[in-house]
Amino acid sequence: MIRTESLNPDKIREGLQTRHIGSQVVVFDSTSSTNDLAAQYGRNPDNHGLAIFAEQQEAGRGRAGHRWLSPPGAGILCSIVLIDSPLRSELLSLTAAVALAEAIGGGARIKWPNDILLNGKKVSGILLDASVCDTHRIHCLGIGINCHQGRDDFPESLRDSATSLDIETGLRVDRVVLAKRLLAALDLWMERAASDEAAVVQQWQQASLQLAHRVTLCFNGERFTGNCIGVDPQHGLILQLDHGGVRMFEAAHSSIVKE
Amino acid sequence: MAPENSDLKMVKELIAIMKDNDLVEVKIEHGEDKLCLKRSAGQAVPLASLPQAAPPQGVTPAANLPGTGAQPPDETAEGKEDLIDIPSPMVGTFYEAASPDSDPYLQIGSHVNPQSVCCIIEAMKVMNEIKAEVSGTLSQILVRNGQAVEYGQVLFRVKPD
Repeated sequence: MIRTESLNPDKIREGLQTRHIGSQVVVFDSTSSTNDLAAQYGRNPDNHGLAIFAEQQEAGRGRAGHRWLSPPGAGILCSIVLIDSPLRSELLSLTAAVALAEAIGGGARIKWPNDILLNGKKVSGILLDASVCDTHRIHCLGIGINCHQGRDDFPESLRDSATSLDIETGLRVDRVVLAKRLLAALDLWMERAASDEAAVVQQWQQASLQLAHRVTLCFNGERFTGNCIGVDPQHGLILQLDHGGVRMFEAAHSSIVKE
Repeated sequence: MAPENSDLKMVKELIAIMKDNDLVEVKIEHGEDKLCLKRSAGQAVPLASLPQAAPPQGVTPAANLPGTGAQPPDETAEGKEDLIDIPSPMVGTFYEAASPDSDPYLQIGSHVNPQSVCCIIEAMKVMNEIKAEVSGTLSQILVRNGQAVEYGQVLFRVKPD
């Protein structure tokens, strides 16, 4: 059982100077998924910027139907409600990755498109749900950060690829401080992205784990290996393939197998 | 049509305009000359200087696949012309339900209205809720759960009210 400080909405809001993100903060002890809650809150346009935290998720979601696993109180499980964001979904997803990497710090790198890794292991992930309600575009930006997990808290199959901030830093991270940093970074980068998309792309590329490294990916069910010679955050990875030739792999149909 | 170099320049300019204005389709007709450019929402046209990625794999009808609840297209019993297509608005991965534990949004025979959510298309970890935008009864499901889909690929066919 992990003993932990609890997340408190007042403490998270205290001193937080953001324009939109975290304008309201709610914390739940337990929920199915913070993104499911965000979808409900998103029906009210007044909830733009609302940050929903949960100490525990019963059905946290990841990509391709994967579960996001986190013992109670061990991580940051958060969803941000965004109504009529000026950013298109793909840019929003990348902007969130840049902000998340900045909030985590410590040399956090981005694994395309938006996983966050520390020392080569996944410490945080993003899932963005996009929908339309009446005339409003709604985005539910779900973020999970592993904080207090020990190695044994991860299933054996994930122990080589997943980690937590406590494991990597050797310190006990303060989740309230991290939550504040996350909301502030999201607010800053989303504001910046609206007027200077290139700044987001540049920052994303600087933090990219793949550029100039060997990558194996699965594209439409087939494996390809090569050196990554270009990363276009919105369109895909460009590989110099081992078997010759240069190809761009469309993001939506590709997944990284290993670096 | 103008000389080749001029055409290429025009196409490049059109691509830039599409990108700048987030357009997904442009059609130009001038006499007998016709030009149609399409791209998926939020996705740019592939880099012109690089070889194209492999062409998309053919659509595998979901007929008879276990667990999908999909039905084979039946062009004879019910004329296709009577049905309305619901195409994918983007490139991505098709999901029939909000999560692995949830029931599919639609089944054959489900009634839909323009606001009915019919599926999720995932692109770059963005889960996009797709609405029917038509009213009627679901007649065909043409893709299977987890399948990669292309821009404009028909996902469902609906018999209008």
